[in-house]
Formats: sequence, structure tokens, C-alpha cells
Amino acid sequence: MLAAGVLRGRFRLARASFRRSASRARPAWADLILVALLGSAMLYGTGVVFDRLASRGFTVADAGTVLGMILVSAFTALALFEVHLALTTLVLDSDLELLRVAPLSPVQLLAIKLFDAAPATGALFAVFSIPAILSFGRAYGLPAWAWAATPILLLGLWAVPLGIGMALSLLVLQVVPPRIVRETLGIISTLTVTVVLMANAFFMPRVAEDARAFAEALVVLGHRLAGLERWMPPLWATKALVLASASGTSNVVPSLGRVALVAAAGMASLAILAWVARHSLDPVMSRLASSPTRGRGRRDAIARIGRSRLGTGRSAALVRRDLRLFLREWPVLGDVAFAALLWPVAALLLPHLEEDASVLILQTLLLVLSIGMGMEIATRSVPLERDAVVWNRMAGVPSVRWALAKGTACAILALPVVAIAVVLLGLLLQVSRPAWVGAALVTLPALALSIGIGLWIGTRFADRSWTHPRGMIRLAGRLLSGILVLIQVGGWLVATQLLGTGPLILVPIAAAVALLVPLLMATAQCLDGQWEGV
Amino acid sequence: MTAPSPLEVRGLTRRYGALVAVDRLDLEVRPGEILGFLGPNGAGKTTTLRMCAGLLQPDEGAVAIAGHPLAGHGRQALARLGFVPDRPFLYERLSGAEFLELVGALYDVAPDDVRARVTDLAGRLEMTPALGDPIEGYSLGMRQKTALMAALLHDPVLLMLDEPLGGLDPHGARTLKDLLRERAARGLGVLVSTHLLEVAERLCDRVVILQSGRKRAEGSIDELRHGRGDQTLEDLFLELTREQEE
Repeated sequence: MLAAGVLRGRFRLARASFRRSASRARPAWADLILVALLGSAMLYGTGVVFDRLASRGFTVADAGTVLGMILVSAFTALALFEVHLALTTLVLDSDLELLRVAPLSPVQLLAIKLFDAAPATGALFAVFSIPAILSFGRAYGLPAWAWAATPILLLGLWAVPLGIGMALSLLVLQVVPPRIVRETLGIISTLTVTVVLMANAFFMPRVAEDARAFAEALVVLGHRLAGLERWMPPLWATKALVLASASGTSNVVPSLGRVALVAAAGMASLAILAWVARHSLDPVMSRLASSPTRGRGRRDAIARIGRSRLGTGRSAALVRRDLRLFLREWPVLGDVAFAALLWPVAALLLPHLEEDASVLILQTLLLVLSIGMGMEIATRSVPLERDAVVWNRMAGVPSVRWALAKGTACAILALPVVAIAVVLLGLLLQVSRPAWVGAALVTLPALALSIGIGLWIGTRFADRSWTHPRGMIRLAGRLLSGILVLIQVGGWLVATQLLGTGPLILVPIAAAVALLVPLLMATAQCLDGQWEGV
Repeated sequence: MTAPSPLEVRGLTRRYGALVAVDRLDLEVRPGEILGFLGPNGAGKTTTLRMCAGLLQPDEGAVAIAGHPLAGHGRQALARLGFVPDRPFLYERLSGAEFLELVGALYDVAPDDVRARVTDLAGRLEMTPALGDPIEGYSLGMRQKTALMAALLHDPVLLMLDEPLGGLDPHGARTLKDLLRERAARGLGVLVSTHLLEVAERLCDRVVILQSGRKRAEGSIDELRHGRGDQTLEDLFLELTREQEE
């Protein structure tokens, strides 16, 4: 009765999430669009791969090796991502206290939280696995009964990592502080999911262009996966689909047998989770509710006030605050570094650059890295303050000074990475010293301008109630940020190509520096308009 | 020449769509006075305090702190104000000492003075051992004490507190009351918004009762009781707010 009432409430909440609300960063339909876009990218990538395999005469077993690899990689990524999402829901949801005092058993409470997390965990699963199976079935054909059994396979593949992963996490949470578990999972899941998405959507289609190399890779891969088949449910699912695709009535029973095996594994996994939850959830929840031990910090904390090497003025204090916040929010820092590094990786994947274009490659990579880094750090530096940002207003700190100090902190964080990239890439690509200096000269104003633009986006689109580094900026802000990175890189590349490395290059540099002033003023104006939302 | 009032509010109005949250409110905190700001839930107390702290823009009216107008950026006014909001806005990943160091710098307080004041306040509020710890581990009471220390670091002419006693233990609550009385004795102003009528009765020199954004009554407890027999402030509050509802 009680569980039914709670579930009814959850359905109402889910329905309400499709409407715009001040307390929600974006309505659920925006998430659906994002899922559809990512799913389309995967569908395109896997479609290209399986169509090429089919048109070049690769057998269904070869295609099964590729499908197995995709499902295994998706399964691994999702094991981390699902657990992270479910754990975040379990640890951070605002209704947790309310549910804890309700007469619900640990298993019921866990079931409610898994229900809450299901749209997010299921969506990511849909993005990865469904397009791969659809593309395989379209290229190699699947009988109707196999299509009918596919949802069972998908549910099983979704449940196995969720159940086992959550059960293990609950056991770990009894020993390790929850924040460390959640943040570690956050970083690893971001890394894994992004790598899997990029590999399947962008890299695989390019590898499949060369039929011979691809065939050789398939042989090696096939041997590797064969060793894992006994232990990996995604490989059982693959085998079921390969058997179904090979047709013939003799394959029906073995294929359905594997479907049943995957479903049983999913149910067993959830049963293990229920058993662990019955014994561990309550102690873990109590641990979450209790405050960490106090009095362990630095004993000389008061004596250290005002003893920083950065100085004691207002601006120095603001810079010091931002540096401390960034360096202590290491999941955010890791996410920033990873997102910034992905931009150059993406740049390498897309165009076929000529081998003698080392100066252009150096310039492109440096611009993409510095602009990506500048934007990522600056946009996040605003929500990083959360509602404590009001102290700037309460103390009467001029907003332009706030923006300047924030820009300085962002530059301090970004410059070492950019400097290392300038040195390493210059050495690796063996470009001449003037070209090297020229590339570095353009990188600095590009970084400054990107930080200015990033700050503006941060003040305009920050979600100060974020619970995950990827949720610090609202979707519109993230999309705009991505577009503006591309525009900036394109603009700087065109300018450097048109003006060369002579004195004329100083024109866009001067323009970039001049643009910083109105940008910082716009940022300050956005900040001034935000107090009412606190 | 007499010192200007720590807080002077004239015709303050704030609307949220059709709802008038604060309606042409006049308010004054005199030097050396603790003014209690009372009212039922949704009366407009927090909205008023936030407008006085510059966090909300009024639709009409003016606020002056120690004679300095708050309109525009109002830096002179803000420099003379200490505000403890109902929810303490703190940087979770900083330690208490780092946060207070930051606030001291934002208010242009010399580091030596910050150290001296933090030593004194943390000692009185029993916060010294925790100041080296990250704020994220603090209880609600510790957060409120930290916000209070931050609001007092620059020794403001006016201290405004929005429901300051909610998370404090009896010792902390007593220390807070002592701190407020000491400030009033020095001729500084204090504005306390609270639901705790006994606290208002014992602590405040005057009270203002707000309902539906309008001032319902103002004066010392004795003035408000005048002609109403031996009523407690609670009786008085209920009677006044009931009259309005009727």
C-alpha cells in the first residue's frame, strides 16, 4: 500500500519533470533530445560498420565479433555509469531523509531510488546498446522471434551491471567515505563512457574503411573475446543474436537458451543487490547522515590567516578562493581536464591532415586545447561557488573585479597545461623556432578570450545546485559553449592563415584583448542580475 | 550632530507578479537598539531583509544603512552591514578559517584584525577546534556560527539576522544573545527576524510585527501591551495577526 503510494508520487514527479520549472535545470524533454542525438550518432556509426562488413562479405560470425566488442565495451562503461548515477540518486537526493523516516524496508527504499535513477541509467543504455543491435539486425537480418526476445536481452544486460555494481558499492560504502566513492566513480564513468562513445561513433567507421586491416583486427579480437565468453553476459547476448541471424530451426533453442541465461543473470544480479541492501543499506544511510569527525583540521588554522604567498588584498583573496575550490573539487578538475583534452582528440579524428602540415597541426592543436581548456574552466568556475557567490554582493565587491579575479584564477590553472602542450607539441612536430613562437603567441590571447567568453556563459547558464560536474552548466549553455569553441578555433585559424606570422598577426591579438573588456562587463552584469535567484 | 540610524527604510515595496510581498514598509533601527522583526510565515520578513542586504531589488522605496543609500551598488552602505541569512551561504570546500579569511579580505579588514576577531569570536562560540576543518562537515549550528562570525568580522554598524537561533545549541544561543546586547550597548544597531516570541520579548528593545507585507504594529513590548492588560507577546502577536486575518 505504502510502496504503491510512493510509486504513484514518483510517477507524478516524472510527469512534472517534462514541464519547465525554476527548480530544475532543464525539462525532461531536453534530456530526451540529447539521448536521441547521441543515439543517432551511435546508430550512424554502427550502421556504417555493419553495412560495410556485410557489403564486403564478412560472415555473421565476424560481425558477431564486432557486435560483441561493442556490447562488452558498452556493458563495461554502463557498469560504471549506471552505478554512479544510481549511487548519486541514493546518496544525494533531497527526499532521502523523508524516505528514511517512512516505514519502508531497505529493499523498498532501494527499489524507489532505482526507479528514480532508471530513466537516466536506461537512457544511456539505450544510447549504446540499442543502435548496435538495430544496425546488426538490419545488416545481417534477424527473425521476428529474435526481435521479440531482444527487449528481454536488453533488460538483462541493463540489470546485471546495475545489480552487481550497486551491491559492491554498498559494501565499499561501509568502509570508504561516500564522497570519495561517488566522485571516483564519476571520473571513471565519464572517461569510460566518452571513450566508448567516441570509439564506436567515430573511430570504428574509419577503421572499417580498410577491409584488410579490419579483417586482421577481427581475428585478434575474436580470440580475445572467445576467452571471455563464459563470463560476460553481453557475449551471451551476442551469441544469441548471431545464432538467430544464422537462421535455421536448430538455432532457435540454443539462441533462446542464451536469452534466458542473460535474463536469469539480470534477475540473479538484482536478487544479490536486494540481499546486500537488506543487510547494508541501513548502516550506509546512517553513515551518510552523520557528519564527518571534526577537530582534525589544522590546529594553527587561525594563525595561518593572511599568511598566503598570493597576497592579502581583495583580488588575491578571490583568486586564492577559486584556486582552492578547483583544486579541492578534483572530480570537477578531472572532468575539466578530460573535456578539454577531448577537443584535440576530436580534432585529430575528423580531418585527414597532410603529413607536411606540421605548423598547421601545431597551431590547430594548441588553439583547440587552449580554447577548450579556457572555456571548460571558466564556465565551471561560476557554479563552483554555488550560492556562496552572494558574499561578493554582500561585501560590495564590484562585479567586474570579481570577473577579473576569476579570469586570473582560470588562467593560472590553464596556463601550465597550455605551456606543457606548447613545449611538447613543438618538440614532437619539429617545427621551426619562429613558427613555434608564432603559434604560442596566438595561443595566449585565444586562451584569454576563451576564458572571458566562458565566464559569460558560466554566469548566464550556471546551475548552482549541481550534483555532478557535467551538470554545472545547463544544456543550452553546454551546447552554446561547444559551438563557440568551434567558432573561436575557426576564427583564429583563418586569421593566422590570412595574416601569417608577421606584424599583422598583432591585429587579431589586439582585437581579442580589446574584446575582453566588454565581455567581462557583460559577465559582471549577468552576475548582478543573479542575486534574486539565491 | 546625532549619528544616523543604522537602518532606515522608507516605502519599501516588492511584488512577485500579482502578490505584494512587502507593501510600502517604513522601518528604522536606531543606534544602540535591538529591533525584533516578527510575523507569521510568508509575512515578507526574509524578503525585507534581503532587500536591505542588497540581494533583492525593491520595486519601490529606499534603504539607507548608517546614512548611506543602498541604491545602485551601495558599497558604502554594504561595508557597514553584516547579514546572517536564514540559510548560511558558505563555501563547502573551504575550511572555516579560510572562509573567514576570505570574508575578511572582501570587507578590507587587515589580516591581523581578522586573526584577532576570529580568535575572540571562535573562542566565545566554541568554534576554535573546528576552524581547520572543511565547512562541508559542519552541522547546521556550526554553519550558523560561521556565518555569524563572518558577518561580525568587519564590526558593522548594523547587524541583521534572519532566524539566527534555529540550529544553535543553548550555549550558542546564549552567546549570540550576549553578542547582540554588547553591540547594542556600543551604540550599534541589530535587526533580528525571529519566530521565537520569548526571545524577542527578552532580547529586543522594540518589535515590528509584519503581516502580508504590511507593518501591523510597532513599538516596545510595553507600548504594544498598553491597554491590553497583562498579555504576553505571544497573546499580543496572535491577537494582532488574527485581527488582520478577520
